[in-house]
Amino acid sequence: MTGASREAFDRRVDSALGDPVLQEVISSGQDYMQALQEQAKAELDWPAWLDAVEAVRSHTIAHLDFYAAQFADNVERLGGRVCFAADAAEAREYVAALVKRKGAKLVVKSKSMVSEEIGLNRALEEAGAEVVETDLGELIVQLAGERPFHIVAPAAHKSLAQIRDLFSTMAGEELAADAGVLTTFARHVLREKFLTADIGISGCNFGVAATGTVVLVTNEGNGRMTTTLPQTHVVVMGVERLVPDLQSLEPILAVLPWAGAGERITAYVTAITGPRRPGDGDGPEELHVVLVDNGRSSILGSKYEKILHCIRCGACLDACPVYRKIGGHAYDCAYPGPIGAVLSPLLDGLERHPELPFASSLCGACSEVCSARIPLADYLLELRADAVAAGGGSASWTAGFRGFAEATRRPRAWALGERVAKVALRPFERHGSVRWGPGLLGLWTRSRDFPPWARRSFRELWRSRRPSGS
Amino acid sequence: MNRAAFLARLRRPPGADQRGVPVAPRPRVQRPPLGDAQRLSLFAARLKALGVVVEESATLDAARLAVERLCDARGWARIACAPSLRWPGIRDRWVEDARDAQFGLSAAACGVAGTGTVVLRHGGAARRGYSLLPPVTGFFVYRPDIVDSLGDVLRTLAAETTALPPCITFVSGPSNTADIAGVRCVGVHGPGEVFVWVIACGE
Ligand code: SF4
Repeated sequence: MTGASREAFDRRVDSALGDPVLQEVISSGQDYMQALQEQAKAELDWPAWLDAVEAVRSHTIAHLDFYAAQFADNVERLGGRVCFAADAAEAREYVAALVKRKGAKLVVKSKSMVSEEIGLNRALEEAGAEVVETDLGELIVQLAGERPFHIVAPAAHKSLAQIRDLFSTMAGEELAADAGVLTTFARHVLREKFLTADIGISGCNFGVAATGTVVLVTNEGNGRMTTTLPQTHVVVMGVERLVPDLQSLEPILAVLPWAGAGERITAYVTAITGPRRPGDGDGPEELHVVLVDNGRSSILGSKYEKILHCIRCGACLDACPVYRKIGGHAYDCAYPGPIGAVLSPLLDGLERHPELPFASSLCGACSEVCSARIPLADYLLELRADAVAAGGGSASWTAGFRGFAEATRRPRAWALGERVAKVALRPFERHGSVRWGPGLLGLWTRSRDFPPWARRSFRELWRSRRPSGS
Repeated sequence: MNRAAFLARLRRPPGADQRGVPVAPRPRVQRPPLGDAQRLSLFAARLKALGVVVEESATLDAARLAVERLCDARGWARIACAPSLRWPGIRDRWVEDARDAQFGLSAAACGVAGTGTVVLRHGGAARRGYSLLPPVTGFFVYRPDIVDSLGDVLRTLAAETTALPPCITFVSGPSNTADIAGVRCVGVHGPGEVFVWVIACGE
């Protein structure tokens, strides 16, 4: 890890830790979601549904070439067009060229993590279009000039007062700090945008290969507006987001709303199969599907393949104790939280996000809650090993752990070390834990607790309790 | 990138030939089937929990009367729905374009008891906008068309031999968001109020 990236990461972490409002918002959000997810586990045969999700996802990824071809064939058979984008640049270029060709002045977007991943908005603005995010959370972060904070709730970190200020600036007048008032304001402003937009861009929760169907799982209705009112609909999706057929959606639709939003089902599940047909009263004339690889194919067949099983439910963020403290922006990537700490280095390269595999306590809470049974904590550990193997580890860190390993192999050295540590650590103790120190101790305590050395070691206790003579 | 090169990168192991048509797994989580009365009461209970107003009507005419009463009580003059769903009773209030309508009415293809969902098949005159653009929307659902679970609907759709309609929407309650400070608000983009009339007999 380079010093500069580590320092930048530390600054982002410090800024989150120093914000008491943010700390409160994240903790209460996590507690709320965890309570709702527990309800699901009581209502459903949760392990059986997770088995089913895992079976569908692993089958699909094992045959991704087949299903991607079948999906593309069916989209095209129904009159849609498919762009096969090898990387972010190709995806951006395709959509930007479409914007130019159509002379589009206004583009409305419903939530799409992939468009965040590929930096689509900037490219479309450079192509001359105004781009308006219409998911309320996405709109809030767009107005604030920020990245999404959470993959399901992008503005989870914003207080009512902050949102009121952002919307008031947009309105050109002071709005009340009332969620109902602000929602009504957004409805009026965005309705006008929907009705006048030239192009609607959506993500895709799942593409159904057997029918060429694009499935969107939403609560607000902006996804329906985006895919109904503009004359051109563009779907931007990661190529791994396919399922074989409609039946394969059953376990995913049983698990995703509970895990992502704590509800049995979202207000809308929309299944779009091709553009408007002759005689249809509404719907877009044109449908374009941009299938994005952007690093996914290099994960296929690797030890990290299961990360492609992700259904983007966000449950790992809601369970993660590190996310709870540092929030989504500390990760500085399109996908925050445990999923982002694994996926972003795999998509963008470890050298771009060297700190992310280390942004974890490895407690395993993410793996435990994962809707797709992805071994996230194991992957984080593997990525750390990869980072060190690639020369990204800190020399003092490596030397420190070598010394530790040596000491554990030599009982006498260990006993001596214990005696020295007991005395040597005392000056660094504050409020019941070691807070700072030189060298490796300083590195460790910068972001972790270090308990004070026990007054009596295990071996001393053992000796004192052993019956005499044994 | 061209299609062939793109797909070749997705082959596992890389470069391997395509290995025939894969057989998709069919994992099923068994749930005991619901009886008729149980299904209806679960459907209504789930809808109500989502904030939907549910009424049972003995016949289509009775449901139409219920709609008329609602429209009169609210003073609605512009009601959007497909021509095939209209009736003479409120002849002067039908509008084609849902954008300015005060109420939109749609016929559901079926209902799902387990989730409180109405399923809409769009295409032709059955516009997507009727259930999306007006501030209030309503659905007619025939009681025999209510099924236990989403899985039942998905299996039925998968068995259809013709192409799916251009859009199918599963609607479960009003348009809503909790993106503003975690407070749940309805009617953010789509309808904030939803009515369902369950009609006892099939037509
Ligand atoms: S990694 Fe697992 S828990 Fe996290 S978003 Fe993906 S499916 Fe959900």
